Amino acid sequence: MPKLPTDEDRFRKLVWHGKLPIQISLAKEDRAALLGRASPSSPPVYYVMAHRCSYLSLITDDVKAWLEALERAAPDRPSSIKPTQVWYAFNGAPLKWHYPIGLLYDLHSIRHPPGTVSAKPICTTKLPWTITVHLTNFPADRLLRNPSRDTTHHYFMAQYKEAEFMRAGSTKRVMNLPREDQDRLWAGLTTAEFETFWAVNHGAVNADDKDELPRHVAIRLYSRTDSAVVQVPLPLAELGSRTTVGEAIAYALRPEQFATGHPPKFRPEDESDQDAPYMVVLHGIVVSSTTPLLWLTRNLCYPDNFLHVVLL
Amino acid sequence: MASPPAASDYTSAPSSVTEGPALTVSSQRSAGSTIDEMHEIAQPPEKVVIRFRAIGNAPILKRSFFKITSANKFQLVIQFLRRELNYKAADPLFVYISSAFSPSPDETVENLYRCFKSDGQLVVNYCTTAAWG
Repeated sequence: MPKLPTDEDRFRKLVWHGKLPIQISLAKEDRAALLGRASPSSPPVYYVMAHRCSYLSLITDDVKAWLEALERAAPDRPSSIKPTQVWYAFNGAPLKWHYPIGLLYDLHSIRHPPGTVSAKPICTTKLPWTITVHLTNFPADRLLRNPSRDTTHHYFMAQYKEAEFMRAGSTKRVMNLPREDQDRLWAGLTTAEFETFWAVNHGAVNADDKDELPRHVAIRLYSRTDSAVVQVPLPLAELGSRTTVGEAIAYALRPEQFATGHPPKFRPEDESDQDAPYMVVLHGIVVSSTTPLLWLTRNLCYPDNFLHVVLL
Repeated sequence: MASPPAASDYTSAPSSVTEGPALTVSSQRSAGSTIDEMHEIAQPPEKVVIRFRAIGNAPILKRSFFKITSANKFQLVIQFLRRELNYKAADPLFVYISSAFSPSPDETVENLYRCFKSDGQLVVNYCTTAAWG
């Protein structure tokens, strides 16, 4: 029987309830086809308060309904919108539907102020986050295909199992969950119901046994500079349970971890100071590099149980 | 709940990529020496050994060891496997690491090797029906 969440969940709740206001406008190249020749000069826009932990492919149903209403308002024509062809872009760059929305924002829209890395990153785009929705020319070379709800579900569970494999050394705890509990994880995520998700995630998979360290911390480091993603197994027992996230990142980016001996660059293009420390961004906030990694992995994971960390 | 879609639903790639010159997988008939070398080298090599294991009714490859440049995405491994099996894009193929989970096709082989290698190999299981969801 899964343990019910407690007060100790307050940081998990803060993460879970993190939201991002998004303004979605229909891409220029799709306007004429959808709205007809008489389309207005200003693009139609749609606003959504999205959960940072959710996925763009999960808001497509709402976006589609909005577009179909516009379509009906235009001269009669059958709906031509195929959800699996819908994609989103920021400043012309396709947005990966399989990344959590919060991670996409952190990657694309948090910047250092020019000429410094020591100051706090500032976001250069004002809220709401302004993105475009596209209905044609799906960039299959840049995005995973077929972003349906089912595909997203399948993808999410695969990632959940991968994180579990890193943390526990096997996926036994997930595979042993009754079908209903596995479904509850997905239901909780898609309805944003904290209790539904965490009743399963907390008790079965994420138990806070104070004596038991995760075998490895499931963490991914993302670089905006060169789009590199680095995943390194961090053996907490070996490194020490008090390992800070700064120390963990230094360990993960040791040259010997990389086939070429050159870790990807994790600093802004305009940075000249080679010894500049990395700025750790998680859920839109700057995390102190002295934060214990163990605390982060217990409290600030995304629902797939990965720490998706952007390094600036 | 609908059954999970076939892996090909998001792993298939445009034909230009499938046929492209990026493929650097080379066959490795006697992999023994290569794997021994792996133990000597602490640093992940630029090319890593992938071992394919068929599950259930999936056809067995003539050779199961291959070397691949670690900077490639896992997508390329899937495409390579499809080609070796002579599978069309519509044929269902499920691919797993360490009999446990399906990695993202846009994950690099280097990351997967670093995190999930076993005895100097990345073990890739494949089957024609979902085995580990």
